[in-house]
Amino acid sequence: MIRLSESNPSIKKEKDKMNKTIRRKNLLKVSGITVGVLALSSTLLVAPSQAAPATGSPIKVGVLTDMTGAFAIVGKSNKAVAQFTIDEINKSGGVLGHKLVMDLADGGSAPDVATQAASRLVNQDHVSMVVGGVASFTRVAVRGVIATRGKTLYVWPASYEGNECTNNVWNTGSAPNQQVDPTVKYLLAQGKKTFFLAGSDYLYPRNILARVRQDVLAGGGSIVGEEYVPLDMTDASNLTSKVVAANADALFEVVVLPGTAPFIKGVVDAGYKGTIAGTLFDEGINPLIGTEAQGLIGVQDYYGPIKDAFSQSEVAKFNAQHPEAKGLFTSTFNAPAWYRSIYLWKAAVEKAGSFDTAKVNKAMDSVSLSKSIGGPVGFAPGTKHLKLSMYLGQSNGDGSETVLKSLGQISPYQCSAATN
Amino acid sequence: MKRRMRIGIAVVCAVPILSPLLFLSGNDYLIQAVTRIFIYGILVLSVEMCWGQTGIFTFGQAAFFGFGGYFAGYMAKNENITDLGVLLLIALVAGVIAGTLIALFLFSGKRVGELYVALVTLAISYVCEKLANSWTFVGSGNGIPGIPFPTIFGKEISSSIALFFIAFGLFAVSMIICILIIDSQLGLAINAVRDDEERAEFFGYNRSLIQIIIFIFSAVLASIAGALFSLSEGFISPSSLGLTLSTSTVLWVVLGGKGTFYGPMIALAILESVDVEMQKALPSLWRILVGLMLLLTMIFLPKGLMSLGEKSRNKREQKKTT
Repeated sequence: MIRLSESNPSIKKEKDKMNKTIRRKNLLKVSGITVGVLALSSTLLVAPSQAAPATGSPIKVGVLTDMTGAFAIVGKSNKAVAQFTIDEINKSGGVLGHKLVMDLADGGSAPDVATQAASRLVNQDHVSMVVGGVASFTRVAVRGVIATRGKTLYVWPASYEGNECTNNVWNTGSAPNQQVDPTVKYLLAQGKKTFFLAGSDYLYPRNILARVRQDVLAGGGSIVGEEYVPLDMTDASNLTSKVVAANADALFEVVVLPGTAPFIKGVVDAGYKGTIAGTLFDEGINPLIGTEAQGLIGVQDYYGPIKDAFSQSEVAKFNAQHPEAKGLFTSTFNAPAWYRSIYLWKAAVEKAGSFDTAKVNKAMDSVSLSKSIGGPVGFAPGTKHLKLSMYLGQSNGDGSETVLKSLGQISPYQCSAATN
Repeated sequence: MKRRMRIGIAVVCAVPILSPLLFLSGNDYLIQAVTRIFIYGILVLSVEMCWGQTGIFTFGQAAFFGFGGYFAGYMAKNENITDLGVLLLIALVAGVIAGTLIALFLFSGKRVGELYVALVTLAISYVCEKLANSWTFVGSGNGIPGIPFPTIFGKEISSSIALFFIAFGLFAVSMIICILIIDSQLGLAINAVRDDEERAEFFGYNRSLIQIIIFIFSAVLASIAGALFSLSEGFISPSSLGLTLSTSTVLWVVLGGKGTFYGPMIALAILESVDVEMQKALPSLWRILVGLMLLLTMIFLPKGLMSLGEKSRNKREQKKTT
């Protein structure tokens, strides 16, 4: 092999001389950069202690939501609701004499981004609790960082697939028996016998549709088809033709954004005559579907027109204070759950008389709110889930909802042997 | 000893001396962030070896990263194999197998163009992400959460400082091996293949064998980095296999200057450490700014940040001579 650099001895000598000075300079430069980077990092090292907060010092509330990515519209709503709730609590004197401040972290609609964001909230900012997460894959990714490894209270504010019973985690959205059971019961009572199930391919839709299947079969109906599509599907023609061909009495769909609108539009435009039901229809999603939203059936913990004076006045206040999120206070964007999450945590802190995670975690088990957006709520002791006021709704073509029936408070069935 | 090796040894010595500064803060998040830089550092090394040194434009290196991560994560979570050594060995074997299959397909026959390699590897990364996203066996869109901490001789490694040193140790070993390769006779041969494949073949070098060896080597590095990532983060998801991470690694290399060896790693360290604070200060703007910065670098500094130093050096030398 020819040694390329050493082919000519005289050139080599010259080169060596030159190289030496360059080498030294370069070494200096590289070590300079290294030291610079390290110095930059060390300036960020001011770590606040986790000791009991001094009287009157502000308390950090960790707010984890997706400000970017597929769920950015949900994040916009969540951030505004958190700010609204925190402002309201501060105006009425804060919690145990402390003002609250929002510590916002972007989950980026991706679990790896969310775990880093959650780690910052817990390990660097030492927040008092974390509320948040939009999709279930975020919850399963961050709960270890926050609640298990981080020993910090984590409130999960979303209607979801159930079975979240991890210690230090509290669920403030509706469980399947509060949302799915009444929907299927209504459809069966309307004389629907055959069902088609369609959903996106991940944890949430699969578990929700498993519950639907169970309810339908128990009620004497039958399932004529079940299909799952990738999370990022936008071309729904294949699924649409399967649904239309099966021609079931009812279609239960849990296809999440961005696939929801093209799928529903496709099915309706192709002349499907049955009833379409799902867990994700309300004033937040309807406008994306357009006039084809007419007649969609669902059950939520809040709709715009519910007859509840407190909810009406609070949402009006919200829309006035946060014009950037006007119209985004909806159940499918988890707005009512975010609102009550922070209030329930406040109640638990006051009951415990401390911000200590273990004490607050114990107190959470039985706290309740006599007034909240959507109606009164409270934890069913030992279940880690809420007794919730639920409503049966029907979508209109203009994006609004008609409340068909108020279902009253429904108890959760979850985590009967919760460990606290 | 060559300059590259001296700098390498200086870095390897400097980190343990300076690291107590980091630990004294007691800020676990920051320690984890630096640990992550070392893990991604191994990944960047693998791209620099392939693309910067051998001219194999691998645009899908995250596929190997995620592959190792999924293998180690799955074994640790579902088969209760938590020994770090065994898990790294599993990742190594996984990397060899995946790397060999793809390398044979790409390089065993006639010469293929740089763009062809980029597109094939990019497609592989894309397909892997889609597959992981819809395969229930590996958790579909949820990935594998709740991966236990690794163990050494049955002892659980859960402190962030221990994980920091494991990541740093593996990074240091990988870096030194890479430098040894580049500074060896093989290093001259791989640079020859990079500079002119045809001429290297004409001189009698086995171009195909050299490309296959380096591609497999870099697949193994990426796979080990992925395993380390899933074990220290306790979690792996389809995005670790996919386009975003693949593109990020290529961008680190471009930004730092491909072929400069240390440039890509410096770009990674700067971007990731600024990332920590910027994501907090400008949550929605930051990513747009990063994109803009990369665009400007590509237009005005096509050889990366390291060429800044070269330019000023050339100017000074010009002054001296005149």
